[in-house]
Amino acid sequence: MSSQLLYESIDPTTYLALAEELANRSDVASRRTAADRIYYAAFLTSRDQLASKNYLTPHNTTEDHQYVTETLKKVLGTVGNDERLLRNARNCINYDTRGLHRGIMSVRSLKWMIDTASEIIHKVEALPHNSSKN
Amino acid sequence: MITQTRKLATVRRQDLSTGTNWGNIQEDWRNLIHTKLISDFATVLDKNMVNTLYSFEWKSFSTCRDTYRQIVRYYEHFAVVHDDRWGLCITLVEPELAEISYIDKPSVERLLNHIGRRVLERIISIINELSRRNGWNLSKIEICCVRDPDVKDWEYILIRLLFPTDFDTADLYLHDLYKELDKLNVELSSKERDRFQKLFYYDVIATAV
Repeated sequence: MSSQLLYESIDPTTYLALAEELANRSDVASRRTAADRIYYAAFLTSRDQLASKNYLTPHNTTEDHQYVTETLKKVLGTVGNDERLLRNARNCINYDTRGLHRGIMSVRSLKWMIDTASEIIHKVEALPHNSSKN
Repeated sequence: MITQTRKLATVRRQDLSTGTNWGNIQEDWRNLIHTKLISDFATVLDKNMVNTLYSFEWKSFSTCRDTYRQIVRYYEHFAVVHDDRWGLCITLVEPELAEISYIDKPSVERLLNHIGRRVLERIISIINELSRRNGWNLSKIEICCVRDPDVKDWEYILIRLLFPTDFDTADLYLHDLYKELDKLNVELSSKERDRFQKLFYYDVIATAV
């Protein structure tokens, strides 16, 4: 029995280009959606790169958020902290529908989020294959 | 780079709290000022010795100018510096430590075992040293326990630094801290490193919006 392909596979770094496009729009729905795509560009690229380079085995559950952050901290030091800050910012911008001011905890600008995600992606892509993990 | 071999300055040290004048500084210290880099010399001065006045009497200001500038730059954040054309006085002052505030301390204590507590002390000490050295003007260190909203059982300790600056400046300070934390990561024992990596996270709040 053949099944119809509904979604092709995706390179999660492409979310970043979409996020930049959304970030430049004037409507708030686009800009808030951009925050979501930025985080997922960084998180999914990190998860897939770390998995393909033998640093972790994903659970494919929400626990992967913790797993990826902790593995990044282990392998790339404080880069893991930036990934968590990105996630906190995404949660705040996505879940809180009130007006968000800069002074509010966790809120980050889209520029900061794009720069941070780009740096995380660059660093995980540069990681060598891990031959020590069983 | 200071390469002259002749004497550039006489250095005297005085304990201001007791009024004791200890006279000329030891001969080898005097040698340091005209034979070595000021960064070497600066490490000789005891930064912990507060209320101590070091005075430098230049023999020739023109040859000492670079040394003088480096001394002022090195000490500007934790010393009172008085200077004139002929000399320089440095009074080492007590560094102002940022207030540490625990939010729900019992929860923080619950997550910290004795190893975690030791690691937290190291982290706070690094923050205070950076703040003093870089003139951060850090207002407060907040320590709290965070439970992740989506991932079951994921709890960690968040160390939040409050700066009376704009966000970009506070973010730069956070990245200065990252460099030191990455160095600490290498220095810790394996058990400490495990706690350090799993338990502690960092954030900044900029109060000058």
